[in-house]
Amino acid sequence: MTDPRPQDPLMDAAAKLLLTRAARLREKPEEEARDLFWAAEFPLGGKAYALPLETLVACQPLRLVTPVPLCDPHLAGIVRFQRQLLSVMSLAALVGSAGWHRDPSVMLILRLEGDRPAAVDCEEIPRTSSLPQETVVEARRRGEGAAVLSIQRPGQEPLHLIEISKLLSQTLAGRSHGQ
Amino acid sequence: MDNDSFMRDLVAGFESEAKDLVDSITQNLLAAEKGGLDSAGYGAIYQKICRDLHTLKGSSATCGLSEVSDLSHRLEDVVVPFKNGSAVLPADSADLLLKGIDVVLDRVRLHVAQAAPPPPDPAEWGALMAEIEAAKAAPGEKAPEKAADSREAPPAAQEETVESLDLGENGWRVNARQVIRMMNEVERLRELQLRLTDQSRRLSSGLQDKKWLLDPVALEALLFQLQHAMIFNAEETGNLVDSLEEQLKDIGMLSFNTIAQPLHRQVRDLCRRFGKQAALSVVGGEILLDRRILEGLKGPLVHLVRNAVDHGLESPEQRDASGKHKEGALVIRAEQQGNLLFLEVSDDGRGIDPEKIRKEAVKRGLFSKEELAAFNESQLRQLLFHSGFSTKEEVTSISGRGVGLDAVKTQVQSLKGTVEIQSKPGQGTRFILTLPIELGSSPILSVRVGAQSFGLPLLSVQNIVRVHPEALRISRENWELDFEGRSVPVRDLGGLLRIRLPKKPAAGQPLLLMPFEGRELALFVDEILGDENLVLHPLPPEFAGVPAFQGASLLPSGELMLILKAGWLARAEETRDPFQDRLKALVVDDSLTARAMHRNMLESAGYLVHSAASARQGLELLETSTYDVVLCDIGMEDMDGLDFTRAVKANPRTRPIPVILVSARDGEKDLPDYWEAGADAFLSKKDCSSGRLLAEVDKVMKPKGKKP
Repeated sequence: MTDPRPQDPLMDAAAKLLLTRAARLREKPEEEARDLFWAAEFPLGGKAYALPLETLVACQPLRLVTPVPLCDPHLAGIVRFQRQLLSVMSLAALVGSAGWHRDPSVMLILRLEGDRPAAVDCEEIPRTSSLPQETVVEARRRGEGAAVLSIQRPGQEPLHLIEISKLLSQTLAGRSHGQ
Repeated sequence: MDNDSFMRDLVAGFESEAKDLVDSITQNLLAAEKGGLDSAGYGAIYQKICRDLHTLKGSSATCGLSEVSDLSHRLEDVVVPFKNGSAVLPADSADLLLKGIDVVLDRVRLHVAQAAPPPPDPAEWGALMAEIEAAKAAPGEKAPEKAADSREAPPAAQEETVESLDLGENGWRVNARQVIRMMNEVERLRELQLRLTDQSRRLSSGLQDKKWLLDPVALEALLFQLQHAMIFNAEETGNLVDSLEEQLKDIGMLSFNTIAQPLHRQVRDLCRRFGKQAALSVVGGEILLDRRILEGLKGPLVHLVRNAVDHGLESPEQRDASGKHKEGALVIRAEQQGNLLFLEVSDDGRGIDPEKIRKEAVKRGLFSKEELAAFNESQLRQLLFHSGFSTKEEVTSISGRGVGLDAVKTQVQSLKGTVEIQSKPGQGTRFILTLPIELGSSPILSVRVGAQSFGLPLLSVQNIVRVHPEALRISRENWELDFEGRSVPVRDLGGLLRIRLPKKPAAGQPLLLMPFEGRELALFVDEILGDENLVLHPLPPEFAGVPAFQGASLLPSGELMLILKAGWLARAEETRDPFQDRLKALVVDDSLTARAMHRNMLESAGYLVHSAASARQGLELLETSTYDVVLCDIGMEDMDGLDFTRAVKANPRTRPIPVILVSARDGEKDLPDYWEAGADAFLSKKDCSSGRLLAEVDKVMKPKGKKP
């Protein structure tokens, strides 16, 4: 059976590229892929931060956020996403960042514990990066419940891995304690 | 369809009929047991019970449920002797008949769940038959000993009447009328779709003909037709949506009585068990509620009613001794206001003793005596929601383990609601549950305050008046409105929400008159935007600590509008602003993050912070409020931070206010421009750590000798 679609040089090139990528991925031993921890990395206040990639649901422009008067300062407002109302939180306020280089224009929709979504602001669209799984396990062990883990990377600046659910519960506990 | 499938469908359909019959029999048995009727009344009630049991017998036989049919027949025989008399149904007979119909319903449900259910346990079944035969032989006399035992500990099925209530998880009952109405609406939708397609096609072909562009008259005519068609289509779509919403409500909603009525049985069984007397009244049982809400409320209602009978009500002797009627009064009241449901469960019993709560809290190590001394009675009663907390010294199978109220609170919170307790020792206790009702829309009045719009339940607004300066007078630093001979406190919504300092209402501005719980409030807003039917969505849990809003609604523009709670507004007007003596800072920045960060830092240093998302909003705030310091972003659309600073410094009233410019850029080379505009300091957002920002604020305010 022949393909009835007309030949398109651009489509052919794209198909070739996809085939090459797929082949390259197939070459990787499965064990190696399993041993990697995937993260969404982004800059915040001049430092490298990351969220576990599995917690990232979507990434969209930071707009149509409705501020909520009388709320805690780390809460920027509410937004509607897929027929649900979500909290939008300032990541810089949550992690206690010393400053920021660009006014955030991106909103990351995250999946919290219990499959509940929430959003945080971000200076730019994150890029995916990977770390050896054992490095993250070791950082979590050393961190003993810390919500932001500092992970050293050879030849690169340290990565601050945010455990978002932990960070939120610590922020809430800090506020209620403070009250 | 084979015969087995046919019979299974028949049995499944019979379940809801059986439930309705059992509900009807239960209500009539309770009425016959309660007494106080004339002979015609008794005759009608017993007649109805017999008729329902007879129907149950016949229908179950048709479905092949022989043991159910047999049991119904025997129960009917127990009632027959009462039919011609005018006697109150003895409690023992009522026990037996209620137990019998519980078994009937259990067996029907078993047949629905399993194609070939096991036969009834011979010993239990035999004992029940013996009880029935004994009752038939001597109607109205005390049942055999075994029946008396079962009264001491009623079977679990009797206790779980409400909790096991099926609200349609296994399928909803929709009648033919409802289906036909919805089919008609689908037809109308299809016509609308065809019309839209046709209009779109005509518009496309019309636009291809370029002569329209050259003939303004023809173009205007085309646009007029288009506008006309769009108005007509929007109206029809609105009507269809309204109609479909009503029909979905009709199908998806049940009356509150669905879960409240079975509680009569529960109260009766508990009173029998504990030797108490109580009359349950349900007010507002006809209110229609989403099945999901009813499902979530079943458990809390059962807990609260059990608590009321076991904890709240005294024994008849104790009540008699304290001058109360022997029969305690239990009231369940449901009331809907807009998208909110208020549910009260109250009793006229012994009330909650705050001393007992104190002792228990100390005993459990929750708080010290000294700490508890600072608690008011309302705060003490909140401790009852603590897991495991109970003031009851004796643990019964019903209550006293402290597992009820925390479960009630958790369940109500999961429905996005709140629970409040009011109690007076010796007079009784009232639990008030407030819940948002998600299904359907509510009439909302939209208002503007500053740059943001807010919604108010239209039902909470009694009147809208325009400010006449002569009708306003100041009393103890607050404005009051003389309205129809009454003096009504005036409050600025912007001030209550702390998005600006409270303003004095100007002539012609709108005031919303809102009555609430016997008080009145005149709420001042900047503009009335209109009213619409909107769907209310609860706020995410991160905002649980913000009591001002009941939720948010989606506007046609895609933006969200916060909906205020009328109750909060009434209470907020009494709350003195704890920050009113603090230094005040204004943050002007179009970045959400910058506003959040600066607010975080300044509030932690004790400032009251207001924020504006644009320079123009910032200038508006400065017109009516006085600030001690202003932080302003440089790069903003429309009017930048430099022009804003020039405007502030050009006004003699605002000139003394220090302005700190902030920017995401370093801005060192532009410093001369900043100073020329009149800025008092500059800070890069890269260095906006709490310490740096506060140091700059301190530096610019030092000459003025001000400290937060």
